[in-house]
Amino acid sequence: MDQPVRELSYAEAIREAMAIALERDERVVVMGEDIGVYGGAFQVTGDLIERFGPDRIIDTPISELGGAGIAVGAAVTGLRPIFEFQFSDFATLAMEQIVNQAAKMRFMLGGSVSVPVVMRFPAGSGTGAAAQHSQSLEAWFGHVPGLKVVQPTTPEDAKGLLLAALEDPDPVMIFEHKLLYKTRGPVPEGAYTTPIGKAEIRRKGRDVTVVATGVMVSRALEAANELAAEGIEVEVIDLRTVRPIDTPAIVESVIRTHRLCIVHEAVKTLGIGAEISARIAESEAFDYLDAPIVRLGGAETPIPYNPDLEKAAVPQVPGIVAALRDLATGRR
Amino acid sequence: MPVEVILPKVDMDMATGRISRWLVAEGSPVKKGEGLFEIETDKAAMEIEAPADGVLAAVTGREGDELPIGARVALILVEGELSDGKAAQIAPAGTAVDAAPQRVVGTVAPVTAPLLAASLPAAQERPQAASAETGLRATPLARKIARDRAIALEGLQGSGPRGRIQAADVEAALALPQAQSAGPDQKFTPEPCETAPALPSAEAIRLGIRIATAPSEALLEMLQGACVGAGLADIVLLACARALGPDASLTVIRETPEGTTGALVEQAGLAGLRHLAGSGRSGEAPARSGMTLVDASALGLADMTLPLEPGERLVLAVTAAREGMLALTLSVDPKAVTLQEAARLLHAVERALEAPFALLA
Repeated sequence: MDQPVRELSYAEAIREAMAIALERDERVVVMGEDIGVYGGAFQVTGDLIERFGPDRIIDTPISELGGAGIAVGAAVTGLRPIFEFQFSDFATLAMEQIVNQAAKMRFMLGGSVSVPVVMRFPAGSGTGAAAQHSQSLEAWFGHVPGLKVVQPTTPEDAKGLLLAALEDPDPVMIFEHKLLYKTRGPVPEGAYTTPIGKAEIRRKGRDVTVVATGVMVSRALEAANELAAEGIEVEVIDLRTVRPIDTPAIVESVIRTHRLCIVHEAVKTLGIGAEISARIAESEAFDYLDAPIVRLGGAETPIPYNPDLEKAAVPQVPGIVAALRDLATGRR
Repeated sequence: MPVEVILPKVDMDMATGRISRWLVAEGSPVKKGEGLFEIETDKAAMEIEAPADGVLAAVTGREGDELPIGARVALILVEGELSDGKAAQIAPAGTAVDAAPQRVVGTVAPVTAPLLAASLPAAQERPQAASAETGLRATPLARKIARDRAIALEGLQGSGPRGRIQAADVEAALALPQAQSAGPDQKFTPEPCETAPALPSAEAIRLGIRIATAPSEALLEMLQGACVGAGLADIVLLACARALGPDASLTVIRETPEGTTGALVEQAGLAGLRHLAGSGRSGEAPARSGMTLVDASALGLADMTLPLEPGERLVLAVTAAREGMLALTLSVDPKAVTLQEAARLLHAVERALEAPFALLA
């Protein structure tokens, strides 16, 4: 990229992407509860209402079903809406609009329309917000043909994937981990896109591959650093897109390292890790596995409110280190 | 298939456990869900249920022993199953006992109670092995390497959990000269040359091989620990000596910028690295005959072909154009050594250089 690069927070990078889109494309509108004057539940929209006015930064009533429905309808009829949920957990209220309408309309109407809506979901645990405000539901949406699902983990990708989502003709669901909003990193100025459907190797390694999503990418990198001191070289793949999954990138890596671990915050059972594990077992990488595939995921429980239990319910660095060490040294 | 009974994890921090009491005697029938044994943790005693219907056999988890989580502590057999291939050898004549051990399971005629009991000690002897009765345990990669390199997995010791054979186990087996698929009878044993004439070099067979190696710090350290000045040529010497068999004597000649030294090493195949690495580094070089290794790695040559001396069956010249880039040039008397034997010798050395620690182990 030729543009100058400076450091922004993840939230600032998303806001910048929205501002670029609002400036260059009059079809773009931002909608959601308290995203205008209040600046958004996590202050991501911030001052956009001052810069672009209430006609394009639209506060919607406290009805996710209604707000998401308006966004889907607006997308079908020519706008490029970005709809923000206050918490991804509230997606339950809008499932009809997302799953039965946005995802299906292109197919129900024989390809005569598309639904270029972008939805943003603050997701994940670690903020003490308890069971109804802490879930990781990305796999739900990854199960629906017609949707695309991304999970940016760096400020640079948060901006690039949002701009890519706006250029996509189909509905794109963006899961933003709440713990990442304040993290900082280099972000190029101006417009650019990060490709949807492409994973990224964040660290090269020869001994074991770990595929991570969301906030688990930074935990996996931390674990990799610790293990490097023991002579174990971990390859860390940031999945970035949940649907469609970048299977070739994982296959290629596993063929080199012979060992695979998948780490995500969402509940382990029937999760993304299960899907990736099955894809590797079905692929040409199967013959290169030198150990069983290991999945680390959320415990089979709603996220507890007690801070210690909340931490214990999802993978943390020491657990990732232990699992990767056992895997790399032939003890799993 | 026999069903394995394992020591389960019943507590969050549990890494090992102790069987306090078996509730069912070995050889007795059990029903799925019936209490099988009790384990003790810091907090409580717990009863573990039988995972299947059958007969309790091959009890290796003894009361009071500290056992790792996941360890096999017994098997549950259904009628017609033996716990180990060895037991089949005492089956009455006429039953299908000739098959390979892993084929025995389920093919033996109906088993009587005494036979079942007799099978138990055999199973107890190797509780951790990738044993025949439970099927061979090997990772997909280990199986792939074994397929590609035509080596049998049967008989390999698995270093993974519960005896699972991993890629490293197959690679270690491949690195050993005796692990060649045809076994010990392929060991390189040149016939003594009766007439022992001086061969004109045109009549000798010459074979060469170049091997690029990247010796690890640890290996170089170990070599230096064995003898000052030792190098990769000494790994070649060790591999050669092992390949030639325990009784072979080898003349070792060292060519350095300072001059030529050497020694005759009797029973070189039995010698360790330290002995071999120190051999021939001082003293006048003896006359070459029989089998000779010439270490010219200090001269910086790409390769070097030596004519055979009178009575010499083979001479292997080791050169190194630079560190880690070895060339081996073997001259053999075709009357004493076949081309195939000579090639096997070179490849044994090549494998040793690929996995030197397996040779040193």
